[in-house]
Amino acid sequence: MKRKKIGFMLCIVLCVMMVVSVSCSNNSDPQQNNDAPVEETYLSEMNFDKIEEKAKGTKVTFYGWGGDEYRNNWLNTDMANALKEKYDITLEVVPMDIDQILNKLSGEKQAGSTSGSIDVIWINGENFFTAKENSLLYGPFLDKLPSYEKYIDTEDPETNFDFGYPVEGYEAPYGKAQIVFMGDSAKTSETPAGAEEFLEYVKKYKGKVTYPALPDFTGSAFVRNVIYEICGYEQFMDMEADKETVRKEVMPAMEYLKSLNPYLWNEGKTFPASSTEQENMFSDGELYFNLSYSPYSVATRIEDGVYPDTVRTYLFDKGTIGNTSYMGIAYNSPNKEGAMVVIDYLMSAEGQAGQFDKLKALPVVDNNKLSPEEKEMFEKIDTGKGTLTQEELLSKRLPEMPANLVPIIEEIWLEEVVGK
Amino acid sequence: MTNKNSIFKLVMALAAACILIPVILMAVCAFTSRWQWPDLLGESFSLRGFEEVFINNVQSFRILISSVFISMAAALFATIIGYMSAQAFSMYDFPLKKWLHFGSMLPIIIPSSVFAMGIHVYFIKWGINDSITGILIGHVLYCLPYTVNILGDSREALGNKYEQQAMMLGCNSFMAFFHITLPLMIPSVISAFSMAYIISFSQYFITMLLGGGVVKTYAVFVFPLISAGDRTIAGAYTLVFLLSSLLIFILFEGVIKFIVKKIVSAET
Amino acid sequence: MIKKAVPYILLAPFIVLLLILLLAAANSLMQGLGYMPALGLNKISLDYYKEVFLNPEFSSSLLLSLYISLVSTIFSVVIGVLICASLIKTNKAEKFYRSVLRIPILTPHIVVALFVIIIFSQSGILSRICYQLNIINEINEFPNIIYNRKGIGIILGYIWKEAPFVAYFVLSFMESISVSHEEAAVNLGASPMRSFFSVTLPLSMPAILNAAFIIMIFSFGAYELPFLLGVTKPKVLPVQAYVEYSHPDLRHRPYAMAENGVMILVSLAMAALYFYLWQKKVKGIRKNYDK
Repeated sequence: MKRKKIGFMLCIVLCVMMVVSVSCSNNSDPQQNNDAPVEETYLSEMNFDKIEEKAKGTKVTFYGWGGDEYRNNWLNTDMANALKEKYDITLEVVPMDIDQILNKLSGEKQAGSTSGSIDVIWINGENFFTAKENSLLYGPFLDKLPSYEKYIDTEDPETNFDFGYPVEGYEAPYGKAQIVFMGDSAKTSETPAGAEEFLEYVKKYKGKVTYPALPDFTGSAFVRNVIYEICGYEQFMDMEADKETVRKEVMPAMEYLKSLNPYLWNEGKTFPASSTEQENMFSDGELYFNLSYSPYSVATRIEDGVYPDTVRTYLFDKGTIGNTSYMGIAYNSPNKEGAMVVIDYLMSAEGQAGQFDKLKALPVVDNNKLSPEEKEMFEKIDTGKGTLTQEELLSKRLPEMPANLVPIIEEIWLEEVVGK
Repeated sequence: MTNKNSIFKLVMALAAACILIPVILMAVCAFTSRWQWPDLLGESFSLRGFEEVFINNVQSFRILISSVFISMAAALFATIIGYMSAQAFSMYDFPLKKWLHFGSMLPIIIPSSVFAMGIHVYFIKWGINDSITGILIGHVLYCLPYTVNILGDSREALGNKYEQQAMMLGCNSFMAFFHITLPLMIPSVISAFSMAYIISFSQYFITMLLGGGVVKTYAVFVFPLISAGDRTIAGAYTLVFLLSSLLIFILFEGVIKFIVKKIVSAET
Repeated sequence: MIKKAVPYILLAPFIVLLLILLLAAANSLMQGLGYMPALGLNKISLDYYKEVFLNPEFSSSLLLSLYISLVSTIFSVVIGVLICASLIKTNKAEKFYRSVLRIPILTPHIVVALFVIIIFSQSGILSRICYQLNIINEINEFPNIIYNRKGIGIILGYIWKEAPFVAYFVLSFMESISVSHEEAAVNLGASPMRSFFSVTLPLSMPAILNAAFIIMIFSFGAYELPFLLGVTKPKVLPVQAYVEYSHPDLRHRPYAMAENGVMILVSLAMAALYFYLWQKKVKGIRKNYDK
């Protein structure tokens, strides 16, 4: 009888220990609600040295799309180590879709939360538009960062406008992107240079071509690119964000996409749920066509043996869409100083060179502002196999359309094209 | 007679095959290097999948351990609350009893995604979003229908007779509970606990929405890898996921058998 | 006085949790009526609910959800009862089969999705076997079983998980009936088949209906499996609701809540239907007994 009693006691003690350990674990952060408003006014007066000092020994969370394993690894290893060494900052990368991130912030705003859990946000385009319009971001902070004056072209339209919408210092450039299409030259020798050739291409390789379902970022870009191909792009730059106006303008492109459907994967009745899925199907050989916002990502995958080395990228003659992605700070970030230090580093020549080296992502730094040593950092990096030169990319680069048109186009695609 | 019997045997064998084959296939997937179509077997045996799970991604292991703890805590709370509620439902009669009993089925009627979306803003207002407390509330709520009913059924079956006998012989109600009722309820308690553990461990939506990326469980971590397409990695992660669910269950089943054996041998 | 309060004290934590759940449900229903003062929406309107039923963009989700849960429940119940009966009739190696049967119950839905993908997708095992047997020559000749507008992949996943659940749920009930009543019927001259269908099955109905009710409501409102195995359009209701919920334009929020509200109402309707049928069944059995 006694043994049973002891057994019970042990079980209960064990359980209590587990509960205590769970509640003390570093999974959840205590929320400080008291000092936030006072801190903010103080912050806007601090110079960067003070900010750096305050950020020492703190933790910074970095929320952003986690569908690119290479980028996740680079952030978790190279970047995290560099930030720890240089600034004694612990970087915590949290993969989360931007929809969820904004949803979380707007919920917190609705509930009046002044201290959340998100510090740095990887953001751009229509999402930046929504975030800024709904006051979900902290700012302006860009001109406080030394890397801004030091390395960034402050006159560049892509620095000051994000999908045509003024940035006003609420986000900092992170990387440049441009849509490239890709195919395995061993399987498909053609590189369609325009809409007509693309139609022939899908007819020839029936069932092997598709694009990610909107509102996936890359899929959405493909549809916008097709719109530019068929309808031109200038008229969109100052178009009213009215659904029927837009529908009328993009209808020819929707008709074209519908005409592709019978030859697409699954006859256009369903599309790969994300760009990650499409990429995996492409590397498995299930699809012969892929597209990416990272023009040099092909090189990293060829290097790793994920793609065969006969894969190469190409563009449409009329050009493909290019944009910049940025880093923002959440309005209720619990560590705004730390966030600014992290962003400053990622924007610097060192951070950008690291990104270019490991991810082959187009740097945002202004070449004219780099010192000879810094220029060398970039030049010695080989862009790798299967890629196009920077000149070629830039010569065929088209601007993004205004941010508020993007969700409208996504809705129209869902209504007019899927399964039709 | 024998003919009929063989049909049933066939059905059983078929069912067992349908259940076991996917598990085995997934295990095979996890141990190959690449599995290009149309090969029937993977290219070669490789530990790439497990390398990724245990070595490359150190935080995945940490997330696994903390998930186990979170689910243990949720199961513990769900079992305790379930036991108390089962006691109330089976041993007492009181107004609103029927409604409250129906209430125990509400988490089955109201899907976890509806609950999470509906309570999200309130959790933020109360300051328990992005916290383990909030997650535990959600998990325990969704384990309750099972614990209340499993414990309720056996509590009712057990009845009051032993307790009443003991109290007639002189012990107070607490002693009667601790020495008589509780030991007899142990198999059912452990059964409820392990069921609650599995449900909590498999929870995705509640943790995803109310955890806000701060509270990480293995289910939320593995979810995006399932449809992403790399079979080997997905297979490796889900194998670990499945095994850690089953392991705890088997562990507790073993404990029940052990305790039951002890009770039986103590009584003979 | 204290004695009267005991059950309520015991139920206190349960009641607190239940209140939180009811708050979530009430909030969903209210916001679905368009009442969101934070967004300046101060008027109650049935428009959002109307959209869910009338606008094909949303009603297609509702119909798909109903269809999937109905079909998967029917198949799961039939297969589950069959497995249960077989388990009872074959006493050999019972322990082994019982343990195997528990595996799907313990498997998280997320893992089940991967099983379905590994076996039934166009690059899955079945497709590879077909290629080896020369039935197909190209990967896309294999029919698209899972990413399918009829949700076949989702249904298969549900059946894998729910049929053993039904079997397990009904097992002890059916066993006791089989031992007492079915054997009696056989002794009185009825064939084993007849006694199963006329005696055991009807008497096990309460347990079977109970299991059917649970899995039907669950599959109607579940998120994980249909998300992983579903198509671009239409998405099942819970998935569609979350898409609306996380839409950057907060004016979509009432649509999400209306869809959630519809889910609650449909589940309640199913529960009411179950109770009605159960009452009828119980009355029916009693009637037969009294004869």
